[in-house]
Amino acid sequence: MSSTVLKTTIRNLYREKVYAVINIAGLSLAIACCLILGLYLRSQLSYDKHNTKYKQIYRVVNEFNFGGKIDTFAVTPQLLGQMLKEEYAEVKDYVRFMTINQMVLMRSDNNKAFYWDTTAFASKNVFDYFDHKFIFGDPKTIKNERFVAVSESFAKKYWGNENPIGKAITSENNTAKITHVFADLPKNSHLRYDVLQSDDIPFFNAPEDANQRRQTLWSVGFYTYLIMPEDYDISRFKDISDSFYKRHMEDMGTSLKATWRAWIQPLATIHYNSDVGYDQPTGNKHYLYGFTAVGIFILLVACINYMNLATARSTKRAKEVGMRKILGSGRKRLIIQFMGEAIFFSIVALVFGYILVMLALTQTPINGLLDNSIVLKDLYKPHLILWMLGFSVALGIISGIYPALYLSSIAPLTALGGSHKAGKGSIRLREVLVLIQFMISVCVVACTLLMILQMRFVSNMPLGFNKENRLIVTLRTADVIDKEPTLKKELLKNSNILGISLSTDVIGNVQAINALQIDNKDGVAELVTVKNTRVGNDFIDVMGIKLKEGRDFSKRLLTDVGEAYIVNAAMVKKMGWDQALGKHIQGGKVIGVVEDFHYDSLKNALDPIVLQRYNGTQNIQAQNRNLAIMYLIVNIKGENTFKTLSFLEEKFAEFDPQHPFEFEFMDDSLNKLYLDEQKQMELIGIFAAVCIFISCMGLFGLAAFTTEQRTKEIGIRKVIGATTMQIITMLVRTILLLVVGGSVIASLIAYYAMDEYWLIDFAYRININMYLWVFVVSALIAATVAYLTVAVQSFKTAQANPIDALRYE
Amino acid sequence: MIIETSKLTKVYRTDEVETTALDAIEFNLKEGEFVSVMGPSGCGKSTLLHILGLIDNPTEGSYRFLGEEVSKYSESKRASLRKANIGFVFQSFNLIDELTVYENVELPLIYLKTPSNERKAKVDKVLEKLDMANRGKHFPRQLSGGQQQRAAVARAIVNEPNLILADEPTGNLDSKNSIEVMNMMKGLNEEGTTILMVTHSDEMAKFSSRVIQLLDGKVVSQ
Repeated sequence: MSSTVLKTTIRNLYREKVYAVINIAGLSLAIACCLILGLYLRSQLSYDKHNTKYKQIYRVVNEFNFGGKIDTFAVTPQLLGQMLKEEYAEVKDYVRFMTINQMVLMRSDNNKAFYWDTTAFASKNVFDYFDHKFIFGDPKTIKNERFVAVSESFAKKYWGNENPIGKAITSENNTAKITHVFADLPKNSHLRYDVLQSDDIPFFNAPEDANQRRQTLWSVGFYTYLIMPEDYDISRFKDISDSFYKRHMEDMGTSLKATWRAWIQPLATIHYNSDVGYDQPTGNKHYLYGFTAVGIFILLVACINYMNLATARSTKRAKEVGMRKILGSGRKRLIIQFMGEAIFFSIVALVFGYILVMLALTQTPINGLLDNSIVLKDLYKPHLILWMLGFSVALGIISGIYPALYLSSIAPLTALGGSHKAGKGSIRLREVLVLIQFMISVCVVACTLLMILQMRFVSNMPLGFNKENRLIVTLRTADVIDKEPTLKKELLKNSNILGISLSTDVIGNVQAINALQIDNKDGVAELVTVKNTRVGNDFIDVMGIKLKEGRDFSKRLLTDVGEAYIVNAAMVKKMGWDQALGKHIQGGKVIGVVEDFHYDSLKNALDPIVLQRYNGTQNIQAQNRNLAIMYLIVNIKGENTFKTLSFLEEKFAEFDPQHPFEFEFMDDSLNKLYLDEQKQMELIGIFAAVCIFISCMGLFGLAAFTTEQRTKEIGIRKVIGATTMQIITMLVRTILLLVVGGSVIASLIAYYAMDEYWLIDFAYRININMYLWVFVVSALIAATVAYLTVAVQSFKTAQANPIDALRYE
Repeated sequence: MIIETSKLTKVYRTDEVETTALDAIEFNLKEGEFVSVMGPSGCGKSTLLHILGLIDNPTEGSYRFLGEEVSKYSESKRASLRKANIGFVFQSFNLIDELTVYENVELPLIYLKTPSNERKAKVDKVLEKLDMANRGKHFPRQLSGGQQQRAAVARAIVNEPNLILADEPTGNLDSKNSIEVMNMMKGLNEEGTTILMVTHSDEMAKFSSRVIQLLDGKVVSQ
């Protein structure tokens, strides 16, 4: 930009403050949104790439087919990696992980105790392939000893900034000494752990005998990562899988009527491209597409503002253009001037955009909604700043090119004669642009509303049990579980506690799926895979589940343990039973049928379920007694909750001094099942507001110019008798038509997107056809906001004495 | 009496200057009159016309229109009086470029909420009367100046107002067209319409029955 261009730009900016504010505010909001979304996307798309050797690391996943019932697993047999390495040259090495997916209480030697669900075991060579930044401990020695490495956050929680090497940490009677501290894993690592120990402990010992080894291949539990040559063609792994199956598994497979196969996934693709069972949390690619689309939308809306306002302003700028041309400025020079203005605007906007991002990340919960995946200090990295600078220049060019071409094309004489009006052509284009803006806004508003409706539907849907005032309390170790009857008796003395029962599973957790011998409708036993959970006495009553026929488990009948079953209506339907009571399951009998209840996320369909009475801890092997977990379900009165809770806590401390009191309200844990959806809803809501806001700012500016251009017409109409309302209506009509047009297109897009990509995740979902009013409401919201924007802007002119308008030219 | 004013005053104020455009004007207009307002540029004749036409408001003084004191009326009240009773003709025609002659003429009736069949009859009638029937579908820019002013007159009289205010209606026309328009105005006056016209031209003033002279915002003769 030459100095006169800069000068005129700044003077124009100063003279037309509203115009400048609208443009800069719109562009900076858009840049801020894009920066946030961009950083989020970058973090999501670089999942696991912090490992320098990520191109050589592949994860094995596998599939078991038992007589046609196919199950896929992200976890593999324990010895798979080792055996593959021994037998196939392509497999250079392997690393296996075993994650503990439940809360484990860890007590330090300075007697601090916290629960962690992020502990894992791994092969000793894990640090050769997976990058860790060591803070304490010598990484060179790591292979010579048994390592117990913890994350920085973990260490800080117990020992602050002290060097924790050599400190002891105890969980359920196992004590380990910390050998290394590593920097917290980046958020975009699909494996997450705060404690990583080497797997050279007896628990993981593998049998030496070849036959016994082969038998272990039929059970899974370990994540296996293979080190393969870079650019390995993953389809070639089929040969390895086939030959491995033939060599080690086929004989047993034939007798079990089962087959097995495995395939591999490049490390960097796991998070967004894996679709197997028993996996770490994976990402949904559709959300990334959605976020990208929203980012582009917002940019588009802001660019459109710029184009619209710049061309609308042409009437005002025409004189300058004419004069410059007469004084000898070529068209090219003018194009450069107007482009320069646009770039100037977007660079100023970049500065404000950066400030907005910092405010958003530090002062608002937005980063939390993005799983804290944005690291604030990344914002100051020079290459990002350079990138953003380039981005702003590109943005300036994109939004400035059309106005520059348009403005520079104004002929000098018409411009000076003052008869130049923003041409018909540019009005048409502006209308299209406004239509696109409102199409985008209505689309995001409609999506937000549909999400809200679905979430409301989910939380209002009768679940078949009572979720209010139910507490879930975790009981740890078999010894504590054994004390449950006494505990129950003690607790029930409190009149605020209405009932207590026990369950092996909590809501939303995958329950045991077992193959059971069950009578079919003709009374012949057959093997049926079904969800199977064990519950304590009074479960049905405490949960508020409705009994359809038969009876609940009885304390008095000892035979109820192991021999009595309660099934849900879905189970009766699945089996085709006419008379459910008395049907045999595993030698026992069905004693009751309950109405269906949703003991899982409504994203999953309701499954048949078989309830068995809990049979105590006597079957648990001695070494696992400390790991046993059961959940107490406590039905409490709605009032005096706080008092009841402290009573419970007090009693628990007496019964189990080893573990802190761990509880959750059932409705909270139900809501947790939809945390992702809740976050998406809030995010899209924020972006919807931003979209509408930017669109309206543009509209506000545009309305100012239209009103100005039509001032004389307004005067004439008023003289003839038009009222203020009629004038405003006239000015708003075109815009409302555009909003309506945009809304129609937007509704179709929103309908399709929600129906195909978002609601599809729910087994129980709203039918959009029943909620078509959402689209009307979204359109109305957009129309109202647009109407107000234009009305406010034109009210002054419409209200004024007509002579002021007539005198205008 | 259609118009009675007493001490009607208009003062324009900017940051530094205060200009008195009208200075205590006493003026009456009887039904059926055709009055011309004359005077040099800047004497306040257009301002007077605008205030009397209820498209601008006086700073001080009283203005009774059809017996109603309107000087303190709000814009919306003035608007409703205006649209029912006053037709305007301007020097620069002030037709709306985007509308056809027919639509321009129809506009006042739309604002009066006249039913559409009645509207059509009235517009056809007035276009016929002013010899513009075959121009209804034309846009203003397709017409000569005289034709445009006739269309503007048609628009002014379509709702049969009590009063027509004309602000130099022939100022942008050649002499032939000027005479034509003035004859038309004369005809309307003879049919009973009261007319108040601002003009520079003695020749045009001759068409009226009374002339008032303005100088520096004051009536010097009437």
